Amino acid sequence: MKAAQGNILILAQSDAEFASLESSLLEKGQNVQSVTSAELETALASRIPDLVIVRLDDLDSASLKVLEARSAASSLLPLLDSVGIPAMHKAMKLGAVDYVELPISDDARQEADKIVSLLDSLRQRGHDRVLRDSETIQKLKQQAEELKDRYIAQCKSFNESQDIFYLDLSRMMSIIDNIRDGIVFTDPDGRVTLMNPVMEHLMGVKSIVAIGKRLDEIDCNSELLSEIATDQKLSVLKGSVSERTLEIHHSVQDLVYLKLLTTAVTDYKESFAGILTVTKDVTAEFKSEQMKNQYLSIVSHELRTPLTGIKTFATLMARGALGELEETQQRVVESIREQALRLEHEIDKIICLGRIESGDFAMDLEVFTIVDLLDLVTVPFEQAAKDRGIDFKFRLPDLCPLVRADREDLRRAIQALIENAIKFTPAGGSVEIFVEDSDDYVEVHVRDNGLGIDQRYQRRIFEKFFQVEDPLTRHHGGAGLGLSVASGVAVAHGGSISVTSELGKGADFMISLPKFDMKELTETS
Amino acid sequence: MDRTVLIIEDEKLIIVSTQMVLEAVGYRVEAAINGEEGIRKARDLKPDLILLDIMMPGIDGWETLARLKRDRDTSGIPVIIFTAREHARGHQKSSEMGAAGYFRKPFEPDELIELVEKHVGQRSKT
Repeated sequence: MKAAQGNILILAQSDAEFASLESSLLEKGQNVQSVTSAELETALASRIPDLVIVRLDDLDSASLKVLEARSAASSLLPLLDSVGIPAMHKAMKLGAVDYVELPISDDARQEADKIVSLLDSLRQRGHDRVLRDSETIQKLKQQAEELKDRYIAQCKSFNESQDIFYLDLSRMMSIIDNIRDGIVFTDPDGRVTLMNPVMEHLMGVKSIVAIGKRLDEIDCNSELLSEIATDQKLSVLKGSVSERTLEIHHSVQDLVYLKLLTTAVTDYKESFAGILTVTKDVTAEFKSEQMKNQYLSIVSHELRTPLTGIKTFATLMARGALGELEETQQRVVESIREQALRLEHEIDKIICLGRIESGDFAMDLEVFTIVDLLDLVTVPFEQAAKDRGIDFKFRLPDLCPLVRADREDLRRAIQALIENAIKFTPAGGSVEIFVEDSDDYVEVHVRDNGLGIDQRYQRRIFEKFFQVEDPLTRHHGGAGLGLSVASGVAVAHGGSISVTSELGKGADFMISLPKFDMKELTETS
Repeated sequence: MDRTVLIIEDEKLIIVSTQMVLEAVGYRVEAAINGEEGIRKARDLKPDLILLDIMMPGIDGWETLARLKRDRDTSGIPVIIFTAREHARGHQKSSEMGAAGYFRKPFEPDELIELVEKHVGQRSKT
């Protein structure tokens, strides 16, 4: 069997040793190339030989490196001066498949035969490896196909998710864009990441300009911008929610009243995500509040002024200060006075209605004792109680603590309780007013043994306009304002209002107010 | 000697009714229908007490009070603010500005007399 032709590269280090081997191999029909150390790298790069023959002991370090780098591509047949462990180790590292011990025997042809059969066996091993490799490649191809399919499926699902995400995002953005409140959001670095059109309008800056910048880097002359920047800084420092109302000069709308709400936002991992500021335009509410206050102020003035005259003249006439009156005249004049008082009381309630809404209680604070006030408050009810056959009792402690309160507001509150008690107590019943001292509080009680209040309504009776009875069929007058005024007053003074009652057994209303400590007066003065 | 009360008030009805109430208990009541006239009369008459309305044409009650308190001739006269209008923190403001009292209209004749007596009495003692 004729041997197949192989490519053999000989690193010709020692002419004497190689010349005979080279010629014998050529005779055997092998393709032999003999190179020097300097040519080795180029020769290996241009054509991959089946076998490289080198004399291991003569190998310089450059050639050694080249052979190490190429050890996987070509088989090496080292020529060894002596066979020992170090030489074998070195040979194996370079990928040696066999070795030839030097000196080469006289019969170089014999060595050449060995080399040719080595080449044949190498070729056979290579063939087997190719077969194994092709099976592996098939498997790999199959796996790659599977991976490709999975990748395509995942891409598809990702694209679908992305479409849904973008759809949701665009919906969310149009919701944010259409919200009538201004919205600006800054990331943890303080850079604007979101600003809706309302905020653009209020600040006078386009979001395209603002996004990516810190608030203090945005170049615009907006009062609002600096206010928001201040609130956001505070929110970062304190981690709190801030809410306040601002008056802003706007380039187009003149004065705008805005409610500013700034809050730190966290993501789903509870990590700090940024600061959100929302502005709500409360200009209309503010103006209407202003108009209402002006209106109430004017109404109170315009109604009270003529009432002062009517009341004073009627009082003077009733006392005979303007001459003696006949019995009928006396009754008429007293009736005029009573009606004037009633009108005065109603005007007072209308004014109070406005103050409940604006929470405008406890504005004129004075220090006084509750007893001084009760002396005046109860007088107008003594006659009314007597007329209705109600026993009106008034019990005060020997020592009454001081309170710091708006005298008029407190008078209204206590009057509302007494009025209520008289209204819902039938003839023969009793209404008792008394004061109790309870640690840091003074408690004013108005207790009656009248109709009482159903448990279900005991909280709601302090709501504005709330009436236990149906307003269309009820037997008792009133607008349902008295108790809500009393409650508003108590709360505004740092106190509270409560009721203890059982249906059919009367009610005990209590206003509790903080005592005033004289030390506070000396401290403030 | 008559004790004099000056009322500075633009409503004739209030002037007349106040005059009737206070004259009945022995006061001499003089009236001015605006702030400027009131300041002039306060200087000329040196009343024992001034009842001062807030809402008046021309200079209002607060400005009138400020001018009365700035003028050495009138700064010692007790002034009672006398108003039918709801003023936010009116009581506090009036006391900060040096008023001796704050009185809401409509008033009870007896309450008015009591208040006037209190301030005029205090003044005559000093």
